[in-house]
Amino acid sequence: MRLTGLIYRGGILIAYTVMLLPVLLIVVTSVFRDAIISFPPSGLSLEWYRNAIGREEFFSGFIVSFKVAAIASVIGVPVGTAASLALVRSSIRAKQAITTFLLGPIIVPGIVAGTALYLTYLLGQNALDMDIVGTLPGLVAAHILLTIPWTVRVVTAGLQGLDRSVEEAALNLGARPLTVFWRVTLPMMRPAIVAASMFSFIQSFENLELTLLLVGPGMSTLPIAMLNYLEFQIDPTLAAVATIQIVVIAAMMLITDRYVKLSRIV
Amino acid sequence: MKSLELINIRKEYGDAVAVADMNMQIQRGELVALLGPSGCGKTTTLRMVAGFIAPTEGSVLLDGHNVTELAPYDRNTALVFQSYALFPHMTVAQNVGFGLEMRKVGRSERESQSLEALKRVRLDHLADRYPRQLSGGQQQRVALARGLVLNPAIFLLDEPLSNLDAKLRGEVRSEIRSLQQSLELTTLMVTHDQEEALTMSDRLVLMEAGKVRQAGTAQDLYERPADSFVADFIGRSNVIEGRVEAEGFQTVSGALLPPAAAGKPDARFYSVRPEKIDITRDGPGVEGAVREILYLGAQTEYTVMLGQTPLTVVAATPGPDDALASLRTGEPVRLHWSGDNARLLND
Repeated sequence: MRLTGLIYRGGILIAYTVMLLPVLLIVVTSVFRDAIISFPPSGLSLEWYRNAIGREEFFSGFIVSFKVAAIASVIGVPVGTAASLALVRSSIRAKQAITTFLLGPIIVPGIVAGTALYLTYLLGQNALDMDIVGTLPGLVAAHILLTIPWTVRVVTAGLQGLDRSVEEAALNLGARPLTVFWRVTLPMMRPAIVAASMFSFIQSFENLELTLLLVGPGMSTLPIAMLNYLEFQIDPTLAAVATIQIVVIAAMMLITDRYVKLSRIV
Repeated sequence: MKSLELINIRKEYGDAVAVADMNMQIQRGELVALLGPSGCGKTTTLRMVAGFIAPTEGSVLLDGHNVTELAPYDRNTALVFQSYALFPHMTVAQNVGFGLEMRKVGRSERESQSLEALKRVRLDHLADRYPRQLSGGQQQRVALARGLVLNPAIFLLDEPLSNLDAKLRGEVRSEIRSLQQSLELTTLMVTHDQEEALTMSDRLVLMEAGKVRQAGTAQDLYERPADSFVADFIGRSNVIEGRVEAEGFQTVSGALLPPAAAGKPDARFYSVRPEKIDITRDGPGVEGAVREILYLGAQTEYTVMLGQTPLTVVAATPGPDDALASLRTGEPVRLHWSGDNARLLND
């Protein structure tokens, strides 16, 4: 009994260490003064943060990533929510098959999905005689695919835990079905939808593999800008960019957690 | 004046019959308990009254109007759920006002009526709280107020006490009953707890496997059970199989029991309540051997074998001077009861 407890705790400790150690190292190295990371550093400096913020490609990359993530979430979350409602509430056939299909984009490796989309876009461009690859709509459409599986997973879990008798109570008190949905069902789904939005946003914002093939000249997302930078430089600027990202995402999570307890959903 | 009338209600799910040919009436101001083991069709019946389940056959009449075809939101019923089913994102006052809002009652009128209803359940001081900040008992009272404010034709209570802990259950039980009596609320309550049904209701309807086994007052069902199922379900009873003979009731295992005052001579079962049996060391009655003695505090429960037939006897725990105080298992005792307290049952 005591031994299993010890192994259990040890396992948790190792898992957390493996997950958090790289994050810690990134934050630490971002303030090292030397251009080539060495230990111990010759001194500390915020120089790399200045460089990261000052470089045009990171700033524009951040804007593109933010725009794409925001638009993809705004479109993908309602679509995914509607799909969840249909899957949980209606008596349609082949629910399992549809669920698997909707989760597809996170099961298929990103680079495979990216290649497939790239080829499809090329065919589309030829057929329609317009640009799709390298455009914002093309990128957003691809990222919507990333947001839907997360939304379906999170919202479906939320819906399954929702007490149907609350909706029945509303019907019993004289509310018609549509009123019940707007006044009772949707507000009760709010925590799940907020969580789904946040996950969708982060998924889209940090995506590299799928995006790699779909960006064009003059339009690059933040992860791609970082990859490009890495090809020529190895100084801690990237660590500084990553640290800023970590802080932003952590802040988002903390703010979200104030409104909905994330531990109840994930 | 009948508030609720169920006429030949039948509900089938495929081949399974959930409720079979149910007829029931509830008078205005009456509390009727629908009692039975799980799966007996009592909740199905309640949900047919509320309109969530459409009966396969038959009619539901509320205040004399046929509402069988009406949707839940067009029926004037107030359903109180086992889980309370309060709206978690609304305050207590908003919860109570919701039904009025659906009836397009103006804000100020709504607020004063909601507060009035909350006063009735003594929760007006918590009007601005959210349901999660309330105890289970308080949430239950909010659910009641939410119905009260609409002045419904009938209150439907679905296992209203089963989510409360034992101590609170007693309090809420008497609270619901006194509210129901003082406001003369017509109420149909579903429960699987016979004590709840006996203490709270004016009348009981005992169901089993979709059928009404017996309907009547608590005394009717307790003192004059119609069959062995009723005798066994309401309170505790010794139900013994055998046949009627000239000198008494011959049990299957060979014991002879005193003749019962009521019941048909072709009956196969004999029933007598544990507390109606007198147990003595050498008094009158049939002789048996003590197999088990359970001390319950104020009462003691004995299992006595009459031949191969076990009988449960519940009696006041004997005082230190009583001959029974020294009783041990295996010793002989005498059991006596009046034939008036025994009944013959057909099935």
